[in-house]
Amino acid sequence: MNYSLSYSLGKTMVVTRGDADANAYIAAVEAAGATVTSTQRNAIDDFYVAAKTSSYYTSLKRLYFPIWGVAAANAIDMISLISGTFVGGVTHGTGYVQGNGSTGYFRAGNFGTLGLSKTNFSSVIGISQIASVDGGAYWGLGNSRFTAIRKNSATSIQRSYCANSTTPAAVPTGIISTSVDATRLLTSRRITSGYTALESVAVPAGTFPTGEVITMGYNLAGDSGTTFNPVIISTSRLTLYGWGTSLTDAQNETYSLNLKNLFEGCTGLTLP
Amino acid sequence: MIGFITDIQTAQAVIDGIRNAQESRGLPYYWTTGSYPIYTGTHAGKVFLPFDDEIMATNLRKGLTPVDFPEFEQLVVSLGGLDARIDLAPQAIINPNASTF
Repeated sequence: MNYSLSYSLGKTMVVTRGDADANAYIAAVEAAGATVTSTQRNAIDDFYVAAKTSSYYTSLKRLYFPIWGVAAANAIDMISLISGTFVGGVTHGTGYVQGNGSTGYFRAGNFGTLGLSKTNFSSVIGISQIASVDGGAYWGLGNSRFTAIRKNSATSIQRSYCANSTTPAAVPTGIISTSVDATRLLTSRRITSGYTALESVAVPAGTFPTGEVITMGYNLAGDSGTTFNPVIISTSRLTLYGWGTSLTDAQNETYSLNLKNLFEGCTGLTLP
Repeated sequence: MIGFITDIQTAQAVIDGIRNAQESRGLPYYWTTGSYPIYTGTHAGKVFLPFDDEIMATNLRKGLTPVDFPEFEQLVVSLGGLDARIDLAPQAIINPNASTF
């Protein structure tokens, strides 16, 4: 582990753990008005170090971690430190954000600007509590290129990619991941009891969307460009969400474990 | 849903004001009320701006809520004051053309 030491004018020695990106994120969260404890600092540092050690950090393009109970802190991307925008009725709870199902959602950026493509894509979403309404999108964009992760029912997930959908059997909680390369589309779920690959299928034939992705709903106009038409239908509690380029099966599994540890280390809560 | 009914131009001015209140302080644009076209009911064709108690109590940063910003009162006045808010049925802002996939 890399450590750095610094002295204030008052001769007080401050010891900080060493990952520069972790420290930058922590500083941004604190500047946004959230309090970061030493336990949380360590969990955040552990995550960045693990992501780099496992060689998937450069695949991550956006990763939001809205556990802070403060809108400005919850809006910060852990990778770029760019902020998305919360819109309408969103509860910023301890360990989650939750839309109201009518006006609340989060604008997370355009896929077209993130270097993602149909065969070079990954996504992750953490759900700590599902809404009662079926069909609620956790994240999504597109119409003729509809791409999303949604609650299909109390016991199944809807995975949509380039207008192709499946409904793997699994309670739609925990950390749900997708990763797509030239050979396969992997959908997986991590919960406290372990990791499960829900499906690994051929890449669908449709066209990849490049519009703006939102969470707590989907952007109906998200096929391409910058037009925007949010459809807000989710009241599930979300703990994290992100997108990136493709991960290997092993990286995908490790990433979800590292995210579980990050969530649990920072909140003291247990993943479903 | 508690909020204001207004026209597109006024709604855009309010949204621009909320954005400017953040960016003029050197902050990113991280929060807004949003504005929603009304598709059905007596207010169809107008725009809904949600301003309920929970939204106005959102912890934006460092314990500050929207009502703590001096611009907030100006924006509310431009919409007729808090007493001008109404309770709109959520179904009124559901796009009837939205796909269900």
